[in-house]
Formats: sequence, C-alpha cells, structure tokens
Amino acid sequence: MTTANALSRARPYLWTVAAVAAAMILSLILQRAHIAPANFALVFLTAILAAAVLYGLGPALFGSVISLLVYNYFFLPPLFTFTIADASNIVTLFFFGVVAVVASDLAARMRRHALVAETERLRSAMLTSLSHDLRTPLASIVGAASSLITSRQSLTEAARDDLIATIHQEAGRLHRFISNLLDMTRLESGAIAPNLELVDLSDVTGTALRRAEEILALHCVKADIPADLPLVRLDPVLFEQVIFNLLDNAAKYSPPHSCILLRAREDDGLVRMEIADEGHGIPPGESERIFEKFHRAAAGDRQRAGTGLGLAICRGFLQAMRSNIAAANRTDRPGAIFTLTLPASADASVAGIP
Amino acid sequence: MTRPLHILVVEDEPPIRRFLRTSFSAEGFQITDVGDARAAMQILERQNSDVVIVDLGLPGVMDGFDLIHAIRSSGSAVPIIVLSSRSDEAGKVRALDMGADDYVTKPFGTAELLARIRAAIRHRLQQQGESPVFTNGDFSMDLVRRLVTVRGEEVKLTPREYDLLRLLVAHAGKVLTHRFILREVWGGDTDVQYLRIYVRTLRQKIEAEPERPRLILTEQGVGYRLKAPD
Repeated sequence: MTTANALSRARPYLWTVAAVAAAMILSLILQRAHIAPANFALVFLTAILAAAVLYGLGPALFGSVISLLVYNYFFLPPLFTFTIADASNIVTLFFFGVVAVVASDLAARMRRHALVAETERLRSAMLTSLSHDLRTPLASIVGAASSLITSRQSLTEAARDDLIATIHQEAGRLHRFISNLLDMTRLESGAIAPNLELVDLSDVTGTALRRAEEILALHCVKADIPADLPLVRLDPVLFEQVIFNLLDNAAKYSPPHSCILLRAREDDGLVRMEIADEGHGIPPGESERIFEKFHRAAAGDRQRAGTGLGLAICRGFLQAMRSNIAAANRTDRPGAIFTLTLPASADASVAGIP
Repeated sequence: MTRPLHILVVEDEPPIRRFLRTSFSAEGFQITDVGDARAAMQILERQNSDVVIVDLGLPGVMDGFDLIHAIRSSGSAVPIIVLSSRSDEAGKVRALDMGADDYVTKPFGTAELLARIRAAIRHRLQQQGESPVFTNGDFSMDLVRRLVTVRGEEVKLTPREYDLLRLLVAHAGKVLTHRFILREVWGGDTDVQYLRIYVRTLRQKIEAEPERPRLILTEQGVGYRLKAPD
C-alpha cells in the first residue's frame, strides 16, 4: 500500500524527467543541424510547460532545475562542465530560469482552475442527482403515510393496502440508493479491500437474482451457467453487488415482460460472463461514458430514477478484483450486453477433493 | 405454549425499538427493550428471556459482541439474534462464532426477523428430540432410513454430500458459517472452495432450478442456510 502510494506520488516527477530528457535529445539533434544553442532554451521551456499543465507546480519547478543543469552542462560552453565562459550565456540562463518559473506557475494555476471547474461540475451533478433521487421516494413515502394517518377511516381496504405497498417499495428504493452512495464513497476513499476467494459463479448469481426478485418481477430471466464452469477468484460479497446492479440496470432499461439473459463460458483461463437485455441498447459513443458516475444514458432518463452510480460501482468493484467490464449493443437483436472478464481457477473439479 | 414468549431487545435506536415493540406485541410476544448492554445484563439476571435480539453497534463500554460473550460465558443457551449493518460480513461471522444463533441485516422486515426467531427457537426445541423426517416442498430427508427424495424420487448422494445435507437439515432455517460446516463435515482441515463445489453438486441434485436455489441458500460472505418450511 505505501510503496504503491509512494510510486503514484513519484510518477509526475518521473514523467517530468522523461520530458526534460526528450527535450535534451531533441536539442542534441538540433545541435547536429548547427542551430544556435540559445534556441534550445525554448525546447526545454516547452517540456517544462507540459509538466506544469499536466502535473502542476511542483514537478514543473523540479523540471526547471534539471533543465537548467542539463542545458548548462550539455549545450553552454565550456561543454560538459557546470561552468559558463560567455557572459551573454549567463544572461540567457538567468532569464531561462525566470521564464521557466513564471510560466510553470501560470500553467499550474490554469490547471488548478480546470480541476476546480471539473469538481464543481461533478458536485452539481451529484447534488441534482441526490436531491431528485432522494426526494422522489421520500415524497411517495411521506405522502402515502400521511394519507394513512389522516384519512384512514374513509380509505377502502384496497387503497390502504396500495398505500402500504407504496411505502414499502419506495423505502426499498431509497435503501438501494443510499447503499449505492455508500459503495461509491467506499470506492473513492480507497476503503475497498477485496477478500478474494474461489467462488462458484452460479452461487453468486443465484443470490443476486434472489435479492433482485422484486425488481425483476415483470421480467423473465434466463440463466445459462454450465455446471462444470471453473471457480472464479472474486470477492463474493462485492461480486454479488456487481451482478445485482447489472440486473437492476437491465430491468430499468428494458421494457416489462422482456427477457434478461445471464450467460457464462470458460475462455482460455478466464471466465466470460454476459448480461444481456432487450431494451433500446446503448446510444452510439456512450459505451464507455455509461461507466462514469452520475452519467445516465440519454439525458431524458430522469423518470427512471436511477442513481447514475450503479455501473460506476460495477466497474470500480471489478477493477478492485482484477476483473473487467465492457458494454456494447447486442448483434442478434436490439438491447445492451455487458461482458465481464473474470479470472478463473485452473482446477475446479470435484475429483481429488477430500 | 401456555405463556407468551419473552423477547429482550437490546438496541440503542428508539425508532427501531418502537417498531419492534409494536410488531412483537401484535404477534403475541412479550417484549422488554433496553438501550445498552448493561441494562440487558440486569434484565437477564432477573428474568428468563426466550430470545435476545442484540444490535451489534451498541454505545457504551460494552458493545454487542461483549454482550454476546457475557451471555454465553454465563452458561446461558438463550437464542441470540443479531441486528447488523450492511457490508459488515466480518462482524456477522464474528458474532456467530461467538455464539449468536443468527442475524438480520438492517434494514430488515418483521417477517424476516420473525422467521429467524422461530428457526432459532425450533432448533433449541429440536435438540431435545429431533424429528426423523424433514420435508420442505418436494424435498424430503428421512434421517432414520438415510433416504433423500425429490418429487418422490430417491436422490443418490455420496457419504460426504449426505453429511453436509444432514447438517443443514438439522439446523434448518438457521445460518451456518463456512467454518462451522467445515469443522462439522470435514473436521476443519479443508478450504471453503471445496465446500462451494459440494454445495453446487448438492444443488444440482436436489434443487428444481440449481441456478436459482430455493432450498440451500447462500448468505454471501457468511455461510449457508437451508430454507425451513414456511
């Protein structure tokens, strides 16, 4: 964990070194073409600006310092020393330093603004989503409960049952929504520590199907998982949530009484699992964006009251388990198909088990 | 039963205590509810409860785990049902290993909690005299004749499969942790993955739709539960 952390912290600096090295190589080539050394300063500045825009002020200042040293050592006479013979080159070097620092600062500020704008955009998307998705079920619950309180006498038994069912159903929706928010928070804070075990895929899909029974009440589900499929190395709890979210998603985006297909096959040391629906499919160019949080396929997708988090959680959980998910449209008929690539165990036969 | 069952609820959230009080009273149970583990211990010293319901996240020096430990250390075998939160499988397993009988995950429905309570009480009573034939729907297991049938037809099981099924049937309705099952059926020295493969094979033999099991249910990250007849 700490080494991985240190590595991710060092990465911008390593890339900055690479950028300066590239500038150096380019300058060496230009030198062969007999171009005056003073021009190389611009090549190094470009590398520094790139570092500032991509990684911020720290790496850029670091790049400025090594650029100064490299520039002096390789290109300012006397060559291959850190001394400078010509006074005019001292001036060049001085202003190179000043420009590098000022430009780094400006570019880093630009980058910060862009980041802030992106965070703001996400935050406002989140607030819109939150207020809508929390309020819709809450409004139904408050409304139904208050009707039961105020007009209990005049309501028919059927109407009472209907209101009670509404409260129960909408509370379930609220629960799923809050669970999604919690899962997303756990993912983003890095609190997901997958407990990888060899798991029977049909077992996990079975429990996910059972949990999704109410949501899938109006759909037919066909599961096709071979009995001799190898076990897969996954966290069963996280994986159940992935399948649940995909079933929830399929139910949301396909018409009632259509079918949802679950299929798994072994494929060269992997298990490939597919979940296909009979909805409208994924709009062109959206097959990656649907995995972004708070993104919903088609803006007019509000009425479905999804959280815009389900698929982002699927991808996050699967990546944490060294697995993958991709979305596409079905080729045999309209509808979306999600393909999961899962690490399989080499041996899963009962033979040899005590 | 002549006297109503007494249920002790140990939960710090007043709204949950309130809804449990209402629901249990409607079912004809007698209920005492307290907000922390110490108060629970005091009640248990004075009165015999038939079931104790414990929230794992109790405030104060004694949490839910401590309470389970204290109850079991005192020699009491009273059924304990734990109220736990989502994504705390480790906590559930720990509570079960410490001697809790079962759990429900918040938010839970009354029907679910009542089913757990009934299963726990039934299991306590069964320990005094086990019924020789278990039936649920099309499935039946005769423990005397060592005969398992589905829709009237005999199912051939290996000795290990039979032992596993017998264990699940003996605790019908109750969750059994992986560790408990491995210890009882294999003597403990086996990996969970073997258990998973045995469960898959068993489901293929006794479930109508093995990919959507109705009899051997998985409690993800915890263990298995054989569905008790309704």
